[in-house]
Amino acid sequence: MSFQSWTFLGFFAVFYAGWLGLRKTRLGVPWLLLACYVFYGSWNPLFLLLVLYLTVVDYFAGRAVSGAGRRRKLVLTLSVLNSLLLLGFFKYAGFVTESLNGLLGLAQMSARLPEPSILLPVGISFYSFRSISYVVDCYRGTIPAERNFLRYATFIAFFPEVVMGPIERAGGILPQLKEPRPITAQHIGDGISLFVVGLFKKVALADFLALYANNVFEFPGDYEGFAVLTAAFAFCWQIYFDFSGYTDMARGLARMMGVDAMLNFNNPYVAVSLSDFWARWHISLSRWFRDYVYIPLGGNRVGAWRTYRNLIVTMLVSGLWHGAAWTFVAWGGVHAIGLCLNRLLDRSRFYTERVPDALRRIWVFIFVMLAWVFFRAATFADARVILTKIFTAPFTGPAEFPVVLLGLVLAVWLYQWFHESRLRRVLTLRPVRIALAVGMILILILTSGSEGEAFIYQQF
Amino acid sequence: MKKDAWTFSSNAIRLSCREWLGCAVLLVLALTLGPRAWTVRERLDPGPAFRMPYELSEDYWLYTRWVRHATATRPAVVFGDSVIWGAYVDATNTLPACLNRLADRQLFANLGVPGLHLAAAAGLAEYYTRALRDKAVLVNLNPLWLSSRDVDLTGEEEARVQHPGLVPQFRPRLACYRAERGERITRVASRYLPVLGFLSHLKVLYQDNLDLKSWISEHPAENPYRARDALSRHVRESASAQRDAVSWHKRGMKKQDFPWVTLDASFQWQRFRAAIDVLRSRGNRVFVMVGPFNSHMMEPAALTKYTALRAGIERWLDNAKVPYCRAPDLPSDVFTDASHTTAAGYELIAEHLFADASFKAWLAPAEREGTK
Repeated sequence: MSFQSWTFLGFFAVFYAGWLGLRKTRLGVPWLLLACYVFYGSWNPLFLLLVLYLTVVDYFAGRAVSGAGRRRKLVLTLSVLNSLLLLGFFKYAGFVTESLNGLLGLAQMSARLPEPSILLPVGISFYSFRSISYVVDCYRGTIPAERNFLRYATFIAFFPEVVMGPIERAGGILPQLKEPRPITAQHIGDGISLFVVGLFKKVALADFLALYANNVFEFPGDYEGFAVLTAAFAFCWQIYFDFSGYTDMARGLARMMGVDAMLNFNNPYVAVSLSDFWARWHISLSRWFRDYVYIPLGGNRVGAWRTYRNLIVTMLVSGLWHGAAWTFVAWGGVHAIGLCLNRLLDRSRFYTERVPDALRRIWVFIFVMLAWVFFRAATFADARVILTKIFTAPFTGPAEFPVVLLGLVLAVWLYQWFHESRLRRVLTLRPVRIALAVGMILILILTSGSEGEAFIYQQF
Repeated sequence: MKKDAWTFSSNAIRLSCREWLGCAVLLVLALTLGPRAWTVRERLDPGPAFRMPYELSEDYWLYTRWVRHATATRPAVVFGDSVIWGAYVDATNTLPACLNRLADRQLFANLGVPGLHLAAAAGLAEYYTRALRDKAVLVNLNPLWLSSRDVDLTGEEEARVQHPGLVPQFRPRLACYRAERGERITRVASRYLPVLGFLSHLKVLYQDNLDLKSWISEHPAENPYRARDALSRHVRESASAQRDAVSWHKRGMKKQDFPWVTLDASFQWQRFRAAIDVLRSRGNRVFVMVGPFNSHMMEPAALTKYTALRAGIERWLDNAKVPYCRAPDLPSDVFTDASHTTAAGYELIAEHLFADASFKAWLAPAEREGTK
C-alpha cells in the first residue's frame, strides 16, 4: 500500500491510535513491529520471509561481532556476503545472465543461459543496506549490538522507511525506539507539514512531469531537440520530486510517531559543485557508500590517483545499486568523471572564488540533468539518441511542455534558491508559510483524480 | 517554535498545529466559496423545457443546482429515468413538457436523468435533492429495472452499473458491483463534500472527462476553463432528440420472455421504497406512475409474471398510502423499445394522468401554488 492511498490512511489511523496508547509500554515495540510487517506484507506476504530471514541472521551476527571473539571478522564477512548475495540474487540474477548471454553472443557462441524470472522484493536494496550497516557498525564498535530482537526487527522493517529509505543507521533509530520521547503538538504539526509537502511533490509535480517525460523517453526518435531537452529537464525534476516527496512523507509519518528520521534531500539542484550535489541528494545512500565503500577503500587519504580510483569505484557501484542495467552503471560512471573533474576544479582558486555561485549552480544542474538521461533511458541507444539530439538537432518544433507545469517547477526552484539565501527569512514568515500550504493543498485537490505513477525508486 | 537538533527539512513550510487549523479554516472557506463563485461565472439559465444535458447525466453537482432552481420556480417536479428525461423526443415533447401543455402553465420541472435505475434514484433522492422539500413529486417507476436479475443488480456476475456513485458502496454488498475500495470511498466522500462533485463537474464539462494533469498535457498552452459557454452549449444540444423515434418492431426488436424478478427478492424495489420514504420525509407529496411498459413486447408467460409483479407494487403503494396511477395501455406503435415512447405516447400518458382522479387530487395544491 502506498502512502497516498485510502488503504494506507485507514491502516495508519488504526496503527496510530494504538501507538499513542502503547508506545511507552512493553507492547509499544511489538505493536509497531506488527504494523511494519502488515505494511510490508501488503506488497506480497512472501516478502516477509525474506526480511525475517535477514533480520534473524544479522541480529545474531551483530551480537557475534560485538564481542571480542576471534571469529568476528569471519562473522562480519559472512553476514555482509549473505546480504549481498541475497540482494544479488533477487536484483541482479537477470542482469548477470543477460550480460553473460550478450558476451556469448559477441563470442559467436550459440549457447545461452536461461534467463531467470525472479520477482524483486520491494525495498530489498534499502533494508539490506540497513542491515549491513548495522553489522558493520557493531563490528567497528560504533554502536552496541541490540539485545532486544523485537526492537532490532522493528528497526529493519520500520514501515515509513522500509520501501524507499532513508537508509537510516541503527544509531539513529534504535535509541528512539528504546526510549520513546513524548509526542508533542510540534511533532504533529511537523509531521503534517512534511507529509503535505511530500504528497504535493509526488502527486502534483512528479506524476505531472511523468506524463510528459514518459512519452519522450519511450520514443525519443519521434521528437526534436527542444522536446528532448525539455523531457530531460522534466525527468530531472520528476525523479527529485518523486523520491524526495516519498522521503518527506516517510519523515512526516515518523515524526508524528515521535521518531526523527534523517534528512535525505537538501535542495540538490542548488548545489554549487558535484560533491555538494552528492551531499544533498539521497544523503543516506551517499553516506552509506562513503562510510562502507569509499572510506574502506582508502577514501581521499591514499594519494591523488587512488582517490580518483576510489571515487570511480564507489560511483560505479552506486550506479549498479540503482538498477540492474548497464545504463545505471554508465550513469554512475558519468558522475564519477564529474566528481573527478570537480576535485580538479576545486583546486582552482579562480573557480572557487571568482566564478559566481549562480553560474556554478547552473552548470552543476545541467551536468546532473544530462547524466539523468542514462538513468532514465531504456537502452544505451536511446540515451545516445537523446543526447545527440540535445547537442546537435535543430531546436525547432513544439516542445509541448505544459506552461503551467513549467511555472510550478520554476517556482519551486526559485523557492529553493531563496531558501539558500538571506531571503530565507521571508519564507519563514507565517503568512507566507500558510499561503504556500493552502496553495499546495488546493493544487493537490485540483490535480488529484488520476491513477498516479508508482514511485520511481520503488523499483530499486 | 522550539529548536531541536533534528533538521526539519530543506524548506520552510513548517506549520504548527494551530497554523494547520488556520489552514484548514482557509481551505474550508475556499472550497465552499469557490464552487459558489463559479456559479456566477457559469450561469445556469434553464428555459421552460430544460432537462439535464445528456453528457452530464452523472454530474450531480449540476443536478443539485437544477433541483434548487426547479424547486424555486415550479410547484411540481417529475423524477425518474430516461423515460421521464425523454430519450426519443426533444425537450419540448417529454412527459413533463406534455403535462405543462395540458395544464397550460409551467407546473412541472423535468428532473429525469438517463440511466437512473431505481437504486440510483434512491441515492439521488437521498444525497442530491435536499432542496426538494414540500413539493409535489411525480415519481416514475419504470418496471424495466425489475425485468431481470442483472438489471435488478442481484446477479452474481460483474456488471456495468449505471450511476455507480449513487448505489450503496459498502452495505449491502452488491456482487455485480466490483469497484476498488478507493473508488468506493471517493464516491461516498463525494456525497458529503460538494467540492468533489464540483471538481467532477469541471472534469466532465471542461476537461473532456480527463483529469486535469492529463488534459493540460494534451493542451500544454491552453486554459481548460476559458470557454464561458460550455454549459449552455450542452444545454442547447441536449434540447434536441437523442435518438430516432422509430417504433420497436421497425427496429427489428422481437418479443421477449423477460425474466422478471420477484418483489421480495428485488434490490431495485427495495431501494425504490427507500426513495419514496426519503422524499416523503422531506414533506414532499409523492405520486407514483407505474410504467409505462411495452406489453406488446412480452411473451405471454412474461406478461403473466409482469401482471403479478405490478399488482404487488400497487398493493404496497396502497398500504403505504402513496397515491399512484398505472400508465395507460399504449398502442404498440408509440413504443420505441421496452419502456420509452414517442412524443405521441407521452401525450397519451399525460392525458391519462390528467383524467385520473387521484392524480388531479394530488396535483390540486400544486396548481393553487402555481397560480399565486
